[in-house]
Amino acid sequence: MGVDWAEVYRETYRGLVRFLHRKVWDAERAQDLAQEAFVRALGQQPENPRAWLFTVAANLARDEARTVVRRRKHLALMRTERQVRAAEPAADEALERAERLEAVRRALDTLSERDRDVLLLWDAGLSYAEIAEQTGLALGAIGTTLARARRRLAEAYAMLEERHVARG
Amino acid sequence: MSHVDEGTLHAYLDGELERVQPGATATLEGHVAGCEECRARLEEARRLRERASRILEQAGSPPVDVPPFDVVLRRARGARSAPGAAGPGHRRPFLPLAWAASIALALLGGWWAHDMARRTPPATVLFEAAVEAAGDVAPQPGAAAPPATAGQDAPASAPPAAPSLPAQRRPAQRATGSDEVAVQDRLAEPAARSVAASRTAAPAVGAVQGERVEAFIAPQTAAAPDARRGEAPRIAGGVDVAAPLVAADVSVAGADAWTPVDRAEAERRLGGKLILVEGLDVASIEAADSAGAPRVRVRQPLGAGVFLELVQQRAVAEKTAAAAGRAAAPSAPRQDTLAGRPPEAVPESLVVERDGFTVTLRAIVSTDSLRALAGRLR
Repeated sequence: MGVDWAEVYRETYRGLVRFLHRKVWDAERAQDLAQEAFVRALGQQPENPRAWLFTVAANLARDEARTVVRRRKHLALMRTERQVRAAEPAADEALERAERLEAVRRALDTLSERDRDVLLLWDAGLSYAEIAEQTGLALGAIGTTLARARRRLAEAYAMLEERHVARG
Repeated sequence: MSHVDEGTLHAYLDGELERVQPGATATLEGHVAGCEECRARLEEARRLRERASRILEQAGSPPVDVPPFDVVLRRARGARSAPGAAGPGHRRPFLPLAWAASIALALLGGWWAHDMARRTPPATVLFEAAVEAAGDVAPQPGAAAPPATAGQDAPASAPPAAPSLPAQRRPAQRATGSDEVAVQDRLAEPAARSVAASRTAAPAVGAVQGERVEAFIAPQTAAAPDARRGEAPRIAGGVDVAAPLVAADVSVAGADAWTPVDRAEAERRLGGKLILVEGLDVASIEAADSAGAPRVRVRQPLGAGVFLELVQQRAVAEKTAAAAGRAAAPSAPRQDTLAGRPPEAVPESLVVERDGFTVTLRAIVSTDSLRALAGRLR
């Protein structure tokens, strides 16, 4: 049976961007890579498009991490200088948000690549079966992997928060 | 039944247990109902699951603008039609297209640069046009009013200001007297008379040219992509001039001649490491020598068209410069010379000392944000 690619695109694109965003930490780049994954999928016509898309996306993100150290700044404080007054609170919020983002990124970095992938795939909306197909893990191992990943993430984030509070 | 393992509890909470192990849900629920320890572990797993979800939510979701499927479909078709593209083993299916695009861009860039070289007026004229376009620079002593408003022979129907002049004719403003006559003779239409009238403003422009022209030429070389996103008044003829007037170009520059340098040269002049805000790109690096005290100015983009400016110099050198009456780090920010900026857009400044250097940070952000940025100086 043929795949309804328009439907797959509609259902998967946002999740794919979300997954990639937590890999490359750059919204625009995440969208570029998501489109690239779809372009490749359309060229390949895989049988299980969602799992295939996330596999390709993970590879693209890995390549990205190897070749680009920091493509984009993580501090986006303001939109335009002409909106300075109005934007000042927004700038503070943006800075705070950037710090939160950085903390999540660091906490995720403490996980093993396998655990991180499983956690992010679940977060992006994939089922256990899709995660198993994408990662090559046994279906019965996904719950255990997720449990471990969640615990490590929570512990690492708590530690970062403690350090942040200690620094003042 | 022995106690339930953690993976099974998470699969249960994720609503996946039945798919992983058909029939396991009922068994688990039955066991948990009678096992206090597993009930507690289930609650703990629930809390952990929620905690992890909340942490991931902290990263938020990027605003996703889903492009129409047709766009991706067209890209895919284009990729398939390219030789050697889009196989699973091909990591870069667009490489041939990228090459072609690069060559096309290079040719286009060459053509554009050639065209610009022919059409772009000299710096003095560009500066004058930028000033007129911005319209908020105090008139220089002895300067004539803008040509279209003060030029006696400017016709009433003439365009209101110099930016409306065709760019090709602007070099006439720098011509010698005889050339000017010749140009005037050649240009019979009313706009040409505006050019002639604007000549009276030339001495005033010359008086500030060294400082002001630098103010918009430097960003053109270093920060043009960001600057172009700003509001760019245009001269007739399609030459962008005022867009590169990036914040803080003029106010800190004083009378210094800032020249673009690379990082190695900047560090050589300073005699030490360049101090930057970690995690931000570098848009430009410039150096100046104030009374024998080398200074380096770095711009790091904070967002679209907004820059953080860092001026670094030896701690002793700064005192020397200050003694010479040329404060490198204005404690009271100036805004009068920032063309095009609304009056309320006052840049904050902050001076920090690090490794024997003083670094002045300036940006149009709140003090707290500036302090946070200072905390990331490396």
